[in-house]
Amino acid sequence: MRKTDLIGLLHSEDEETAIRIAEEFPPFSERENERIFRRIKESVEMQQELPEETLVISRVSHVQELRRIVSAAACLLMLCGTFGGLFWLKTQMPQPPEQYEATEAAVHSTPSHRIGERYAAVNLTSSGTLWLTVEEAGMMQEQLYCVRIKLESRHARSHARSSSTLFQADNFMLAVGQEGELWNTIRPCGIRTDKDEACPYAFTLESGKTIELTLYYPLEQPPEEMFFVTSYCAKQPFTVLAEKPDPEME
Amino acid sequence: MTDSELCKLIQTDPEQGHKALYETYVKYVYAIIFRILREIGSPEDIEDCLVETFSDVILHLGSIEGGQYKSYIGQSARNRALNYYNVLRRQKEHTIPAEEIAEPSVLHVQEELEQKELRNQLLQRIKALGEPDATILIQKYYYGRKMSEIGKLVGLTANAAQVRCSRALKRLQKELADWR
Repeated sequence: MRKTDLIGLLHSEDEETAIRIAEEFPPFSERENERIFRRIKESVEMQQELPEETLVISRVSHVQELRRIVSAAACLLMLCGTFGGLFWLKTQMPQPPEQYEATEAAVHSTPSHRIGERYAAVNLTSSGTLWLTVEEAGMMQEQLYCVRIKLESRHARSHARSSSTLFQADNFMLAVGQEGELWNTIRPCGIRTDKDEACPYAFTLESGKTIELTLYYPLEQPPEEMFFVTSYCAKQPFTVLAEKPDPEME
Repeated sequence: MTDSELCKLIQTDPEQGHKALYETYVKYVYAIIFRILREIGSPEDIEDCLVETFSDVILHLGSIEGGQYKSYIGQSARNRALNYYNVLRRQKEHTIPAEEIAEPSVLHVQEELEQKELRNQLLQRIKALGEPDATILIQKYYYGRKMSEIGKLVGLTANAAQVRCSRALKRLQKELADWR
């Protein structure tokens, strides 16, 4: 029998044999036993001195942990999406006229405008004053009552959207789709009515330039009142004190 | 000392009772722990596990029902040794199920019986060698101790113990020559 066989055979023992070997061949000497027992005593004393601990066994499932994290992330995402969506909608929605700086403009609306008088629509935009002059009123042209207005500004003004017209005149006679006249000091351009009931139109007033508007009215409906429309729904009225057409002049 | 005697002694004189409990069961506990940890643990690991087992038993003596110390101590030793085994094994990045540790070699019943018979005969032959040769062989080839430690245990120098070990092994080999 070789050494390895001897070791292999001895080490392939069952617990019963192991106990038998330990009983017959003690693993420790007396001195070793004393030393080990001292260690046991020290260990016991050390554990007795420790404060009593309450052990709580809680079963932790990693899948549940992951589920919680995913749920929290989904909730956060939904909240962010909701608030983001609301914010986006808010930016897309047209603001009420009161909130427009331009719509806060107050036109100097006095009942004493006369022909040739320069009329200041102050603070129409944040960029400065828009000046309006009634050049002519009460003149007749092609059997129509005619009012000619000049707009000027030191700053460019653009009203591209028909819903944001700068100027609106009551009873303006152009039919829907019919081109009227709008003069710029540089070039003439057309105006076009968008709706039946009103005459909103869009134009660009260039910086330092003027625009002349000639508005035509039926003889039986002279323009007693006109409006500055500073936004799509707010309008500031002003009155043109022009002489009504005198039938005798005809 | 029986468990009931131990129980009485522990109640009257805990210090002596604990000492008696240790002396009664140290070999039993050591055998259980050693069998589980010898392949993976060092002698220090085995001793630490033994110390922890006994200190745990002493701390929980009051909760052992009916003073049935042997079964409690045996199970406690098994559990702690298996914990040690897993910790040590994990350090080597591998864990084996407890069943495999309890039964390291899965043999057929017939083979297991033969092995048991062989081990019995071997142990009888070793014992027949007489002292200190039997102790030297077991300490060397079963417990895996160093010859210097064995020498101290049997009251010989390391060299003398080594010589006796070689001679005893040769005698044993001669006696068991017809085995395989």
